[in-house]
Amino acid sequence: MADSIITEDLTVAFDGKRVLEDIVVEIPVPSITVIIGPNGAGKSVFLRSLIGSVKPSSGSISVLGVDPVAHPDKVKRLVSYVAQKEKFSYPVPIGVNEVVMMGLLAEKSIPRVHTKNDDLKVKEALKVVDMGDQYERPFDKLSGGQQQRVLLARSIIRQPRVLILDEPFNAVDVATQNLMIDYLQRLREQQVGIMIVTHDTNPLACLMERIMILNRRLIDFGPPKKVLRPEVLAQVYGNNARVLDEEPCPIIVTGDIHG
Amino acid sequence: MVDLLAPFLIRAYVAVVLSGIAASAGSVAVLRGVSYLPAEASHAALGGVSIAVFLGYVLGTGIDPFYFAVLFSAASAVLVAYAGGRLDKENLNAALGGVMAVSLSVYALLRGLVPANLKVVIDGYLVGDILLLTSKDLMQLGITVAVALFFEVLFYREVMYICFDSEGAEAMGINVKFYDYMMFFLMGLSGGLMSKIFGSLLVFALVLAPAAAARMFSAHVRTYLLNTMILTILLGMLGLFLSIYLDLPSSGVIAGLTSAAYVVSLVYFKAMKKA
Repeated sequence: MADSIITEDLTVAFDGKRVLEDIVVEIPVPSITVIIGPNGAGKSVFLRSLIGSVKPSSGSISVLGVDPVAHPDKVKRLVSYVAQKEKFSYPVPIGVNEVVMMGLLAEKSIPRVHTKNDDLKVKEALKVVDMGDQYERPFDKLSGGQQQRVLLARSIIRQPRVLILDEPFNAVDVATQNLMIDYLQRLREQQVGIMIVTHDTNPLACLMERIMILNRRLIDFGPPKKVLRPEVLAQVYGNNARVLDEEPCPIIVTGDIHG
Repeated sequence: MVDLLAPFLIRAYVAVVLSGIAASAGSVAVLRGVSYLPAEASHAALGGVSIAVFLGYVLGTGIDPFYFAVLFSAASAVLVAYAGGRLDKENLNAALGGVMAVSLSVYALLRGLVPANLKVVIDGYLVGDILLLTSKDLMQLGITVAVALFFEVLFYREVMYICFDSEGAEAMGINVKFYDYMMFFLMGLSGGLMSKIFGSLLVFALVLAPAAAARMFSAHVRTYLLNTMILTILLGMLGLFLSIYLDLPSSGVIAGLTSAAYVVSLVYFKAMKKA
């Protein structure tokens, strides 16, 4: 189907060791899907396989009808991916405007010359993430939360049909987290599909439409109310995890509750 | 009194400018996390020169060692990229050591097999003398630098993006593998030609020291590359004049100045941070 992300028996192995096994899933686009799982569960590998950066050992992938293995460039025009923040080389002296401009110029031909219109788009994208006043600031001088907002601006300036975020709330303050969540909601309204890997689903409790639980294999996938059962949560958070029934959105608590 | 416009000095001035342009590869190496690469490549040049000289000796024909020097240095850099894997800095540094060990072994072995008059040719790449460069040398250096500069300017954005965020660049459709190999090739090429100008022993001081110093006062990739070039040229010229008036080896004086510039910059910026 052209309006979904489908994997059929997706298996990925590195050096003979399977990090993902037989993943069968169909994620509708647009929708907001949250992916959770313990460390080493293959969450990031799953995301990277969707954009063609990781090749499956077996099985198939279709992103909006495009096979990322056969046509990685086509998929990369449809999907924006924000990697985990620790993987960036912050000491490279580069301005905020150039980080966001990267999103536009990556799609142009060499020598990737930018226009005045591109500058305006960059300013607009920075305003959207509340970073309009930081246009020329060196990226490495920003706080973790500000950097994450700039990276989000870099992704959205490409107007993707699918936005993939790998642990976007790590080292981010609450204000930035709320700003990002508000913006994700707006993107969803604009028919963008969003996939988020996170360890904490609670900030997205009222937003997530589907949850995918991974632990090398697909543990479960579906609407939160169906997936978030005690026996499933135990595989990610341990035996003390449960969902607060009285809340309108599925809030997960771990450990003992006193009150 | 030395004539400052003597042909050998004019050739040395030109060589300093060329080395300044080539030194920008040192900045790219710092940004890419493989600071030692140009210096390693210059040592690989020694292996290439040894092979050229040895082959010439065995076959009884003259083989220009310069081409072997730059080809081996560039090839060794590409080999480092291949052996180390593109994204893993620890693997890259291990591969760098391995390739350097092989090059130096070839150098040590073949140098021992040629007569003394040919050992001098090989040793010219170990401890070079900028004042002995010929017009032909400059022509070769100029063409190599022009090629490297052309690609550096043309692929400036790709280099910047990959150094900053190779995973993100790949996710946006930039062919990281291709540009990474090209970047390593150009860094290796620069290391090789610097060995011709100053000798590979001093390439650390002449490529890495100005790049490391310039990094401390450069707020942007573009200004960083330019500052490295300007710093190398200024210190190169100053070192050249000082060596003439003090009657000291030019390469050594220039290397001393670039090393001193790094130490002064380091102390100054550490002090500024504390203040």
